[in-house]
Amino acid sequence: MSPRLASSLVFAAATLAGSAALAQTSNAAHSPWSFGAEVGPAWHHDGSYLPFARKSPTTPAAGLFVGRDLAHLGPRLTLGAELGWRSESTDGNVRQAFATTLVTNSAQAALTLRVELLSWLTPYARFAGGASYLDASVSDGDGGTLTGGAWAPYGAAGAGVMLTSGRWFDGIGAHTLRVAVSVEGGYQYVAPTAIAVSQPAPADERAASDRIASQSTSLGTLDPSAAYLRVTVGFRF
Amino acid sequence: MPTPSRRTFLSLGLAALALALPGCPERDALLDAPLTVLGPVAAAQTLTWVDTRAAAARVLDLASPTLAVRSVPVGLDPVLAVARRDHDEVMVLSRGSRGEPGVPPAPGTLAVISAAGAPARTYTVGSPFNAVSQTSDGRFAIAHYLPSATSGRLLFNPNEIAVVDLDAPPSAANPARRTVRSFGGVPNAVAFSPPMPINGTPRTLAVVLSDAYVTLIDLTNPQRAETTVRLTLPEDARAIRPTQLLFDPEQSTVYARAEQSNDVYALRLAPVTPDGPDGNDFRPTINQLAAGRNPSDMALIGEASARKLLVVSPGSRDARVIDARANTTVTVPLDAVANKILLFAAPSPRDATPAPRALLYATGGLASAVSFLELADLDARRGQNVETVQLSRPVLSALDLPERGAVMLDHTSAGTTGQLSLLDLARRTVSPIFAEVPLQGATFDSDRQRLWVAPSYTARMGYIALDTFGPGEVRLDEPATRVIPLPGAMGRPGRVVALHPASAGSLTVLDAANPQRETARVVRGFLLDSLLDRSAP
Repeated sequence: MSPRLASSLVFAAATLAGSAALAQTSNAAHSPWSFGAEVGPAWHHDGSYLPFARKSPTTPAAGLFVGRDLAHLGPRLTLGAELGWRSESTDGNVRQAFATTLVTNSAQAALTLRVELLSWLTPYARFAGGASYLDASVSDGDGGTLTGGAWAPYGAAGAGVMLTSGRWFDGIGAHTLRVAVSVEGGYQYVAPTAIAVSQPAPADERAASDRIASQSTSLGTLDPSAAYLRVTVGFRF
Repeated sequence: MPTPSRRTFLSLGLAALALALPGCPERDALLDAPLTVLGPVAAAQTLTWVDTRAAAARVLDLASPTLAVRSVPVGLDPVLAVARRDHDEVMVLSRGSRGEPGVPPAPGTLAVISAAGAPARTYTVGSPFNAVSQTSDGRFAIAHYLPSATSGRLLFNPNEIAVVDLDAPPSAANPARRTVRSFGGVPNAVAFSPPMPINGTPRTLAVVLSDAYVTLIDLTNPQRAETTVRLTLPEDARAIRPTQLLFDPEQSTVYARAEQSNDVYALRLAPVTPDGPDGNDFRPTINQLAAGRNPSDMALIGEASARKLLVVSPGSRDARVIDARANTTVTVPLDAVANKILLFAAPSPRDATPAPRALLYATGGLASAVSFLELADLDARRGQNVETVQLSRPVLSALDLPERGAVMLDHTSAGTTGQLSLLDLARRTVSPIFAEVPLQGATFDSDRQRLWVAPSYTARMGYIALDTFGPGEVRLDEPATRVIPLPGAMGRPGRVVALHPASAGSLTVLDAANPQRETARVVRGFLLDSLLDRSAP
């Protein structure tokens, strides 16, 4: 390691340590861990999503996340990380004969950059990356169902505000436990993905092995990218 | 407190939402339209369905490793899909659109889709026809109206036709649209002749069948006027409907049989000097010949120089041999009523020499016996040339197996088993070959090696090897509604397809020469192929 690089790292560490002391001005900053649930709609803009929607391609989403503040980058700036899971589910009807469903599960890791604006109000920006699994099915009135799934890269960028409560739980000895609520808007990108469906194999192994080999049918390419609104409710501790 | 920053921040968030909401796409009306399809139509190793609301053909390529589906646009409001004879192509007739909100008017079209994937040809037939007839070689097609049709237009001319030369590209002159002369009727059907030598030149004639008259159109010279021939006197109000035509090219004669008539009609095309450049060089002369009561089938027999017409008439329980040129008739009484004729050349139990003979039988459960007719020396021997063979049950329908010298008879009726039997034309013996399978829907493969049946009540497909008449069957995953054999070509093996009932499409593909479950493949949902791509803006 060169002396110049080593001195730079030492300077950065000292800066972070110093800013950490300064950043203890917001309720959120006193509780570095977070855990919660999220809900909110996603507004899909591509026509390929329409077969999975009844009218407008707006789908509800829900998820869970856990986070940890990593570093205080300045007097009012905090860098955090999150791991989360988000699921969208939608169903539709096609050609008056087919019921469709699409479930999208996304596993994601995110970095958040939080501004400690007020003790209870912290705007933030959030950048996430991960992978989505698109699980599609088409059922006809005859009882036949075709299913198929595919993985796709996932990314999201958004901005929001987080409201953090005071020390409401001091009475039970949880001095750092706080309630946090956030509202975030942004855009999630999921790479356009080819969806092929086929008849699912019977659950019974013997019956499954007895079936004639099945060929999948391509439904085409699905573009699941969407604008989203994310409302979270959780705890910081 | 940095209030402006917070306001800016919230404003940006709301702006992002405002941008996202109007960005939602409009739902395509096709997604909510019912899925109605025409087909399937087999061409080479493809099966074609037509999604009528999407105005698109879905071509399933069974020779591709992935059973790929190709979408081909066709005209609006498709009403008919048929295979082009002697060609690996599918024809789709569309009525077009009279114009609706958001849908501009569009003319009727005939789209020709190649199984090989070549670009489709679209012929503008103009009017909203609903029927297509074609020559036996697939060279010409005529789009026309069926008499029961409604056009969905304020006005339409039911005698209008469009003649399409399918070997020529679409042009202003192709198709040629014209109106056939009418005596008040409308076309019931269109038949085509083989090349008929007239004035030394072979002609393909289109014969438009209407109630009480026929119209001849020279397709080789489509600019010439058509010739209409009345089958009744003008004052005769009978609705005589021509239903069967036979063409005798050597004698330039067309024979017509009609419902509601006890006569058959011989139209001899006599050469004449054309009356102008667009005049015809032939003129039909009609000869009306008595043919017993309710003649139901006819066949040409004898050498070209002594060609005669064999007619069976169930109403008078006889067969008649009519010499149209000599205007003579020989009546042969039958012990068993017959309404069908099958000509064959085979030995008989008393004659080891193959000779032209006829099997006269009745379908529809009318008789439990069939008649063999020796065609040689029939004028003199008459009834002595008839041998009656008793069957155990009435015949509902029959499948000719001329290559095998046999006829498969279906005796299916309520409460019976063992419904099929095999009639050996040479030995004149009848053998039951298997039971519990109705013959309806039975299909030969293209090289007539096997006869396939797929009863809808069981997940099995049966076949009979026509060389040994040995039966076999293949277990499927689900019952089939139809069997479609597809020919092999270019080193590809022949295939047989079992269609299953499923709204999105479902079928099983088997090797026709070696039908085994282990080498079969199932594909479902192909009618939804590219569903997501189609709904994209």
